Amino acid sequence: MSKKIIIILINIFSISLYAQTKCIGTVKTEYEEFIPKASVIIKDTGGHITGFGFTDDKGFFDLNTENEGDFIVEIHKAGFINEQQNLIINKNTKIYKLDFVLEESSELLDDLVIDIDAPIRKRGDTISYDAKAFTTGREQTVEDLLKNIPGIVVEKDGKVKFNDIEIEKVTVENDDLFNQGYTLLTKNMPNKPLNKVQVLTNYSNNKLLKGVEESNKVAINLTIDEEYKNIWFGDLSLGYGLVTENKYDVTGNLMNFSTKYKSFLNFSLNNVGIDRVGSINDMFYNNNEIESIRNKELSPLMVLNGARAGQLKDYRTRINNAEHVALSTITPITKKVKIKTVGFLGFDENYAFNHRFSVTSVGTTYFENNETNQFKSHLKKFYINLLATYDISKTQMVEINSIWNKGNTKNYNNLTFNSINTNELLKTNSTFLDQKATYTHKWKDKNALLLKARYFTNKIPQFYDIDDYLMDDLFDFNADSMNNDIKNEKTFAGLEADFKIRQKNKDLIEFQIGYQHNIESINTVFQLFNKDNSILPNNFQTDSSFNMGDLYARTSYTWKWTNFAISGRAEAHQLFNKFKSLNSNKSQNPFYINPAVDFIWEISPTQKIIGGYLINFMNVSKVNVNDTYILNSSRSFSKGFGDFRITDFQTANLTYSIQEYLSRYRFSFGINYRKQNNIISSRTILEQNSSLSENIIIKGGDALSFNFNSNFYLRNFFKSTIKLTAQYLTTIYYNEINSSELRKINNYSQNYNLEWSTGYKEGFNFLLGSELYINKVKSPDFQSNYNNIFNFMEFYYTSKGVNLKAVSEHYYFGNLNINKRNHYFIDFESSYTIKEKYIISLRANNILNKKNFTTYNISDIGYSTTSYSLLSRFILLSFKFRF
Amino acid sequence: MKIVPLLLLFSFFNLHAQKRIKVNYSEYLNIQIPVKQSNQLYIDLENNKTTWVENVSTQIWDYDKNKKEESEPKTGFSNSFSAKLGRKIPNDYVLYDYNTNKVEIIQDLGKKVFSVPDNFIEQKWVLHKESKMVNDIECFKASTTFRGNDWEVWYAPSLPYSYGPWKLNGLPGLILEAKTKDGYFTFIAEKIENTYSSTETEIPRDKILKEITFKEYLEYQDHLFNFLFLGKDAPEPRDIFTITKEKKFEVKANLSCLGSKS
Repeated sequence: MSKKIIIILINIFSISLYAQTKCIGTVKTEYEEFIPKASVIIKDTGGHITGFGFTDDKGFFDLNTENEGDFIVEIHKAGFINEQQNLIINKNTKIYKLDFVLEESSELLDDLVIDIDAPIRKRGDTISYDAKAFTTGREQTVEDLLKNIPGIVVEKDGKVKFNDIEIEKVTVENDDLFNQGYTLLTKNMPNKPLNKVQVLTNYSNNKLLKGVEESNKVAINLTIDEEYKNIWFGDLSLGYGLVTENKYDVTGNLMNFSTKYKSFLNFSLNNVGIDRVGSINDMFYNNNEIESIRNKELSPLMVLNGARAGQLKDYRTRINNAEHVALSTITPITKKVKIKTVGFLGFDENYAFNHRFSVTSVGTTYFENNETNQFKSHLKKFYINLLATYDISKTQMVEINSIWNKGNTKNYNNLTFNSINTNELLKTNSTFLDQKATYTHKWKDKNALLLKARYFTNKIPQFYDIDDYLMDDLFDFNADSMNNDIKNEKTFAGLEADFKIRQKNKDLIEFQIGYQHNIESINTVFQLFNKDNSILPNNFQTDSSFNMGDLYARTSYTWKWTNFAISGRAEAHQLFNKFKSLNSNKSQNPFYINPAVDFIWEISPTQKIIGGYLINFMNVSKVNVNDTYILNSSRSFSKGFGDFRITDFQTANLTYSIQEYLSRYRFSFGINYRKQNNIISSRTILEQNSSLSENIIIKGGDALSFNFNSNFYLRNFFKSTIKLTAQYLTTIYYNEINSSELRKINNYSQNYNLEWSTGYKEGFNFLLGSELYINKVKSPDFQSNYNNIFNFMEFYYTSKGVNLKAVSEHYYFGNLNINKRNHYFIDFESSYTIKEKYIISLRANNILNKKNFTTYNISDIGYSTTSYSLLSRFILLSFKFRF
Repeated sequence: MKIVPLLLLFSFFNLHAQKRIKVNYSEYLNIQIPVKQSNQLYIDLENNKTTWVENVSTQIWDYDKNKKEESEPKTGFSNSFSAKLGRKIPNDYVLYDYNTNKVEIIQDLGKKVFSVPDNFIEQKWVLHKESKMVNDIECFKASTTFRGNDWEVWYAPSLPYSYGPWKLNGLPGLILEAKTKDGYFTFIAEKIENTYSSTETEIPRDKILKEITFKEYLEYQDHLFNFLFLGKDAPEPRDIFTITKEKKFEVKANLSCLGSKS
């Protein structure tokens, strides 16, 4: 009896203590449909799951909970966006009712590979690399780290490629700071705060197009360690020449990456050959900031020879004095409006000293030229970009992008041509003002409509002056000097509607209709002077205007099966061309259709075959239309057809590629056949002192080319990495020189690269590498080939904050005189890090103090050797402070 | 612009395109002979059914979690020793129909394929506070006792499928890792694919000899297990495989059902 009482008492007691609280409710779609089998999770404030349940067929759930306090109820259901509500449980209420409405999600579950503890992981279209696993401790910047990652190649100018595809942008925590000027970020941002480097394949620049469009674009996203989020951090480095006078390198970064607000500031000034900006022209002009209409910006009509030796590492040949400051901030104005501001201001002085000996041998034409350039350029660049993104809803977005950039270059050249000494000056100004607006509407998850509008103006006036006359008897005038005043302008306006519709069976229909209008003009005044007189040679003056209207429709349909997709495309263009010059006034309204078909067959996740065939008709550009000679460089002119022409060719290609899913190896073989019906070539009258080139249309001249590419990245081979790349490429092109027949020129190039590097965290490491280049040119007149070999060795020593690095390089040019064939370089760097905050470093560059570097080149008209001056020996002491 | 509505006509959509999911689990067995084998869980979301497939053609594997690289097969066994064991079908199956709460085991026990109806037992999960990231997926820990084994599992609420390896299910998220406390069995999800072809889940029903009760099945399994591995007179593992033919029956390499008998 007493036992029973105790049991009853215990029961009563326990009921009052653990009085069960119920949480009930329903889960529905926006359209009031019940969602069964959704998981309902109760989490405490610490994020721990304390209870769960599922909805029944009526979308109803009923959960018991025993605790009091603050909770979060979360609903998860595949095909819907998670929804959560707060739940505060107190003593008094026993039943809580929470109703949920889930929004449908277009996101499918990505295929994902779970690679426990592995530094490389793949989930859907994203490959994540653990930044720390690819760090050796010697890296300073993001670029240094990217170089360690399999599949990623950093080119000399800082451009990043993944599996041979140039990336679109580098984002930080999914926010894009510099767009195609990402080298500003990768060359400057420290790598230490990075958590992951994510390669985003099938990337869409427009976030609403993800999953709608077929994309083979790639972008890189960097994630930041938690400890670096929401704080300002950066570094400042000051360096000054020790023995060598007035050498300096100063650079600083300041940044903040919070979830919403992001900012990156970077400045640098140096005269030690370092390029901290990289190739950012794409940011200035046709950037991919927003999905818009693409159109070519102008290019300068004249350039002077300030070439540097491309074979060498950039810092050996860059004799510079550069300053720049760059800033990018992303600020949310409201929940739906985000503004990005990017500004760049840069100054650069570049020097190039070279001596070129060239032999030209074409048919009966043979001559030798000696040319010495002492070249100096002053460059100023200014760029400002404003991007506003307005997310009207989850399916609609408006983006407005404005760019304004101005540039100004002055080139001075002391040119000695076959012992005639002259001074040249070329001034180039450029302004570019670009306005883009794009409205994107996505509906039913798989369809999108884009309305794009763009307007830009671009002006590149140039002025050229030379204080002597080098062109022999080209003109019937005894000239002492000459100049050329160029106006070169373009205005563009375009409108386009772009539909992308994905069928239930994944097939994709695309349809675009638009109109683009180009108004361009060239005006040149080419003058020859002597003491008494001046002349304006006929046929060398230009006053032309070009109006090009293009009404077009493009459509494509992609049929998609599990591992095979084929797409057919067609573009119809109605052109409205008008050309007005001193001599003529012509208008043409040609119409053409460009059909194309592509297929991609994914034999397995690692192997694919891509093929395509297209017929391409194209309007020629204005320089090919112009009917007078325009000066292009000190001694060469070119001229177009005198009217608009439509060129056409057909190509067919087939590529097989195999790659490991984490890109540790890759191999591809491609074949390309091009049938040329009407294409642009040139007919050149080449003399020792001048060259006059005019465009011609050639028929035929079919070309077959092959390429072969392989990349191997072996990790963990005795704690080391081996990279092997091989390339083979053949190309064919045609031209006419000095009343020759059409000449067929074959180019063959082979290139092999082997690298072996060790990856110990401490102690001694090395990187050994060798590159072999084999080139061959075959023309009707002659055949030439050369072999170049570059070997490099880098040795590192790391221990307790001490980093030592020694670099030695050997360059071999097979066709130079024996005493000029071999070139050697040695550099040395050391640094000491104190408390991970202060870094003292000493850099000795070009220890052997090599002053000149000679290279050998071949072309279809002869060969040349060029000696370049190099950045001479210096020792730089730097102090870096991280905060 | 009449084309626009025309184009819109083409757009028929199915929002719930996610119908099938395939999860590959590696299974690590540690009963005298460490074994690694690969299993698949096929989830048919439309019909609320799962098909668990054990690829019995397995290797003998020395699984050491601390070692990053998988070491070479230990011992002197042939990699394809299952071939010696003799089977009629390459895989064993566990079929769940969550709508009707029916469970069926299809197993090849030495060239005899049996269909075994099993009871649907709701698993009572204890939720733990621990969470961890498996890649970038947040996983929470839960545990249960099922068929005589204490299971510890990690499930991912962001993958809202209440299924798991073998017979484990009922959590508000896919189970990515599961192991018994004694360390005998470990399942680790290695790959999740968002579709599979129906041929992958075809059951070779024509090969089934007969249906036996779960009790008969356990007795048969018990007999095998005790004799081969636990019996005092049991020969060394190496010998088991050399004498299988004489004994007129063969052991299958998948021991998960054996060890987790109720």
